[in-house]
Amino acid sequence: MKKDCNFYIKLFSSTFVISAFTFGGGGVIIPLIKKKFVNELHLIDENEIMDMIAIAQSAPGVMAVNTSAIIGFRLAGIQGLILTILGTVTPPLIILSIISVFYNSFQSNEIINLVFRGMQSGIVTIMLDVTIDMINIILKEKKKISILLIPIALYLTIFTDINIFFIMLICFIVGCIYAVFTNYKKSKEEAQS
Amino acid sequence: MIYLQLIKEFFLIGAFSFGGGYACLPFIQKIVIDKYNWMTAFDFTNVITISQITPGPIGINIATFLDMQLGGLIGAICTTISYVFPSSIIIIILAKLYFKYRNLCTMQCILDCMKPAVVALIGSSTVTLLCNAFWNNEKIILNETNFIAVSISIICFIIMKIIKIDPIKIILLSGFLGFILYKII
Repeated sequence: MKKDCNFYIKLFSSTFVISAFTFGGGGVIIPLIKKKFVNELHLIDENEIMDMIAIAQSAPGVMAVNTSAIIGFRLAGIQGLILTILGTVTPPLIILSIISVFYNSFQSNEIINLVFRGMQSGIVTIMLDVTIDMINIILKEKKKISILLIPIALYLTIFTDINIFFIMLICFIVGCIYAVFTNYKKSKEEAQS
Repeated sequence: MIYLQLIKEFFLIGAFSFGGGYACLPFIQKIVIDKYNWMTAFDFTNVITISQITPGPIGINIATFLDMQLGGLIGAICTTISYVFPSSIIIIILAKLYFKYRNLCTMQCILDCMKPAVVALIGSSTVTLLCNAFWNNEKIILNETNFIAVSISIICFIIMKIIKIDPIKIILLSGFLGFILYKII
């Protein structure tokens, strides 16, 4: 895609719409970002987005903002990063500014509550779809270490209260050990041949 | 004065809170309730509730809503900027490193081990939300399943599998279905 005016508008509007319609934290927004940029716009490929989300998660701050930021940076440099961050933070700014004024009537409105309850089911469906999709991506690569770590990481996040950051850290350390091991094996093979 | 304090505190939270929106909650709570006495614990609970039921990233929502209460719109804008600034810089550095070294064996090995954590983050959010939607976050009992929620999910899933559709349209559709089905039954 050419980097004309339309491209930048697309970048901003995609993140803006996702942020404006997604309820919940990074775990909910990231699947939608993946679906939009990989499956719909075809701007980033499947394996790359997994790497990028992993990087976004290992930085401090808000995960959804970090993920949009790295995608913007990859597609259009610093300008892209600024645009996608703006796209992600503007909807909450607008929506919450309005809501903080009409806070009580908003909370007790029946129609809004019913629509929200329905939307919950829709979001769950999309997230389930993306989770299965991501597991498939990893399975397709056929790397034993990744496949082995999925159930362990899933178990730790679902059944224990360990902060996701520590799980990332453990995975990072395992990755370092694995890298040393692989490099050692490689150099040994090279020496033999 | 309150602007400067907000900017400073959220800058620090943005730079040092790892693990996403929920992980930064305890930090914000300490600052707002214990350190500056800006709010009571009850008001703070309301801030969290509102941040959860409105769209957008939780961390940003909390920051915005809190600042709207404390410092108005200008406060909210300034705080949001100072909140996302440190992590943006870190992201730029990490992204540059990644695009430069991603073909290195060492980098690939580390990323191969970190991808499962991405799946775990999204998988665990899925499980939490699914239990919340289908069983109201209580015990998982078949008789107490919210069948309206389950059927909306199934309808959405079938539509998603048949046609390629924008996820936002699925969310809007499910909101519409929710309004009709919950209203009738």
